[in-house]
Amino acid sequence: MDKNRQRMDHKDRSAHGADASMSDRPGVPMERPSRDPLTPATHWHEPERMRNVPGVTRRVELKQMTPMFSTAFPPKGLSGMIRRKAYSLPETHARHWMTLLFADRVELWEHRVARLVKIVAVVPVGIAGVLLATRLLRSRR
Amino acid sequence: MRALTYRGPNNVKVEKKRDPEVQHPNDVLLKVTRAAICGSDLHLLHGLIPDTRIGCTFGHEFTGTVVEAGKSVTSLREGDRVVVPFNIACGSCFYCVRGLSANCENTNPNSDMAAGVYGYSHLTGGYEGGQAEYVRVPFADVGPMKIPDDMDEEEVLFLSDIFPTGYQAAEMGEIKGGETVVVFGSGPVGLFAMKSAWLLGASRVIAVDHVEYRLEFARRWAGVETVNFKQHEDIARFLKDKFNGRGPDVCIDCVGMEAEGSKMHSALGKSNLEAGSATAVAWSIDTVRKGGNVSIVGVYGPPWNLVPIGTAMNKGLTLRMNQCNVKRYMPHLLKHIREGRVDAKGIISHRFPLADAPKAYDLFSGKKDNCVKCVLLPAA
Repeated sequence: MDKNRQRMDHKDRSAHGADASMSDRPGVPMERPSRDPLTPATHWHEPERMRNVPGVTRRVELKQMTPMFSTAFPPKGLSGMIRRKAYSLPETHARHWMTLLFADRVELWEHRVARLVKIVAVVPVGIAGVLLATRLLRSRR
Repeated sequence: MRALTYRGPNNVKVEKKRDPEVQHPNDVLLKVTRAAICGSDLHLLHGLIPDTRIGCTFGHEFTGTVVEAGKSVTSLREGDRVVVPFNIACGSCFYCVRGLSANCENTNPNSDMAAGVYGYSHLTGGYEGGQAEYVRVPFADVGPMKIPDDMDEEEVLFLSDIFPTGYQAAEMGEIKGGETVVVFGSGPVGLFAMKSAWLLGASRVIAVDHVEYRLEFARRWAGVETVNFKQHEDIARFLKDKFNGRGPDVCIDCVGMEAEGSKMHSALGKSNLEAGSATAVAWSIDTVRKGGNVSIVGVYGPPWNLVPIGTAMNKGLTLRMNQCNVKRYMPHLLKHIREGRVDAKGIISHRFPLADAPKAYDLFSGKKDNCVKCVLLPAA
């Protein structure tokens, strides 16, 4: 496509250069000069803290939990132990990240084994059901 | 409720989960009305982001209707329709008051690297995502923006992430008017970066990718020139030659950690010896003119990548990057959508009910059926 034509296409839609002025740009300057809360509805200086929930991971550098956090999927099992170990190491250390990646692989195997156990548990029950149904049908004949 | 759940690399399912609850006085619960799949969700799907726990729900681009509000919420009430920024910000910390909501220090206990993000691993706080019927939204007085009554969900859905991210990418390129811009990646964020480069007054915009249908879409939707890097042995040199041998003023990396084009980076990335393939950022540094700007919004996981920092230093480049401070951009970009300068909804190529989310991931990840952007409809 011809580059001048492209520019014209955008001019036609008053899009080209619509934000050419720096004052029209929401992210300029990068740091807002005012120190007001981000939105007028932010009605606190320090946000209220969530009630502490045991088991939630946090990085070792934090003296206390952040005011807001998620309680979904606290670490469990062997992978959970490895994750807790990872979060006891500073995130500036490569060991922190390597341990987290290792925990992910361990969790995957835990998940696979758990699924296999479920299948192994279900199969005998299924076979027994089929055998029972077959016997019942035969005895009715 | 039903929700998409992660079951290990390349394996997602829709399963029943416990409904979310209000856990903090400034939480709201949303009934999700639209949830998009982002290119960065594919990094999670492919198991590249550390501490992505099995059972978690992805999704950081969504709209919804408020069904329950915590007792300290003053700006929203039951029934309000909202679009939610992907990052969770407290609104009052050191970073938030400076406008850097992507760097909020009060929402992610697991890493100092980023604020909390919906559905993006425990590295960003472990919050559940929006690819579900319901989602918990913390700091509801800070993040969500009400959807104007005369607009539908899909018109504003991309204000949650990809439009502001693309815009911030162009803005960080410091386009003052008349600059030449090369955008690596013609995915959804790349498309919005191209549009934004025009809005800021660029004189020439070139998109680089290797997926032909995406380049064709970029020509049509964003009105840019395109280059397929697979057709050139040395893409950096080819692009430099297009700009008098010097290179463009600005390069924008909208690809991130799963870039193709370098066997070395791909091999190192896949074997976890670097955090994904850093090809696009390396090309950006190699391609841009001396003294130029490189803007990075492609997602790179920790801990390290092979980046030609010596080249950047010797060329006197300015490198700028961040997750997007979405909240700052929402009102401004809403105006561009309203006034018809940007047809944000126009990039949606596929819609699926939530039950078909695994199919949507397969389609988007495999770039099948000319897929540009998938949107899930949890109520369908």
